[in-house]
Amino acid sequence: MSTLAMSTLAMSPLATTAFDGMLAVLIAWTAWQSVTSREVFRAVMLFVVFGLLLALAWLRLGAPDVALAEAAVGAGLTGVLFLESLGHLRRNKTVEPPETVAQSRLRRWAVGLPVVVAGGLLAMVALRLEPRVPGIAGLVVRHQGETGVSNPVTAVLLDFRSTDTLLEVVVLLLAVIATYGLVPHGPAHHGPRVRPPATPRPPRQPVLVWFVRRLAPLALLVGVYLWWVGSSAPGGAFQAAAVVAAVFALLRVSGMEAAPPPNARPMRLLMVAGSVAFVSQGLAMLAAGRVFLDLPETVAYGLIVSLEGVLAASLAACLIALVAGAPRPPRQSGERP
Amino acid sequence: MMFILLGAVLFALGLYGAFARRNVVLKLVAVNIASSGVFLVVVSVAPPLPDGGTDPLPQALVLTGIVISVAVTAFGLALARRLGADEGRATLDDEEETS
Repeated sequence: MSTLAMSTLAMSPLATTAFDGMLAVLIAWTAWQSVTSREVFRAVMLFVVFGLLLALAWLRLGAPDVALAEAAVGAGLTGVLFLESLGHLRRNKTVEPPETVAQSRLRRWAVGLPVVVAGGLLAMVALRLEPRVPGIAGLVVRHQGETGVSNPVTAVLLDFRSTDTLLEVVVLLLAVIATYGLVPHGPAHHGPRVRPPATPRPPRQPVLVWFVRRLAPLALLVGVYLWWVGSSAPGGAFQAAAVVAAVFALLRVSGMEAAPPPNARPMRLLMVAGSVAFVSQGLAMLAAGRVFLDLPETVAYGLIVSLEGVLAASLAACLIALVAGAPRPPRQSGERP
Repeated sequence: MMFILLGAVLFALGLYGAFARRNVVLKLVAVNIASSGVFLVVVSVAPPLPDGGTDPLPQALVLTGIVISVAVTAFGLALARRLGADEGRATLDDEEETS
């Protein structure tokens, strides 16, 4: 990892600082434009640009793992999620209602002032933090050999702090369940109709379809590669899952439905598989007389790589389900309460 | 140093949007920007490793955070969708102005 950070182009310190400065200004500007926009579509587009620029900033910070996740998840999938929700909003709800001068002035001061104070306090505290050398990073470096993987970020995620990762997998699963639980159902639901079936079916554009057809298998390959390489280089289950889910999102918006419907049984089983595999690995360690999720040195590598494989598939299924959105309520169904 | 400041600026901007915007989808975009700011601060305050690398621990935390953000955003959007379906509005105001 550090070799990768080192191998960035040798630039003079002045040039690097100038680049970082420009990048920071651009990022702050897109964020500002996005936050002050009253139009949802514009705000979302700016947010996607913001995410891509932020991915560059992560590279500059020597965090390629985060950069990958930011580009694929932060900019890509979150952007698709937002765009998808635009289809659900009624047309007149995608722009904020206008307000009076007095209202906007009040808002500017009543919200702006405390927020500037909060940001200033955060900057002050963060800049004055006394770094504790060697810190925990030293522990990671020292014990990394016991995990069998040479990417320290993967070692932290899947071994040293695997409880966090387990809970993260569970949170994603919960999000899918909660999202589906919120679908208004049946005749009990009344109220203004939202625009009918939200599955975006844009007219088939031959160039887009041609391009996506060729891109999809390559991108899937990239996903598999990211999973495999995660043990020794930037990458891993999450980045792989994000790329795979992005492929399906791309197929979806270009009018080719490739994934089975999220409530099909295989998809549901796949979504649960990640949490189940993770927990059973932990329980297996307990049964072997170790601490929950504490991997023995001899088999750690195999366990991490295989668990990451299951996680990648399972997380991808969850993300696809989130992007695909909940099933539409049956229209005029014959159900009786 | 620069990225710590940027993180604080993004945090403030996102916070502003979360409170000042009335459309719930715009609020969620702003919350995402604020959390990106926090992620930047978390990674940039860690001192560099002896070999010049970046501390892997905050990186792993931020990776987890990014995935959680997606989950939160998706859930928030589902709530927004339900709000739209039940009440036909996209804001949390007590009384929706005529639209």
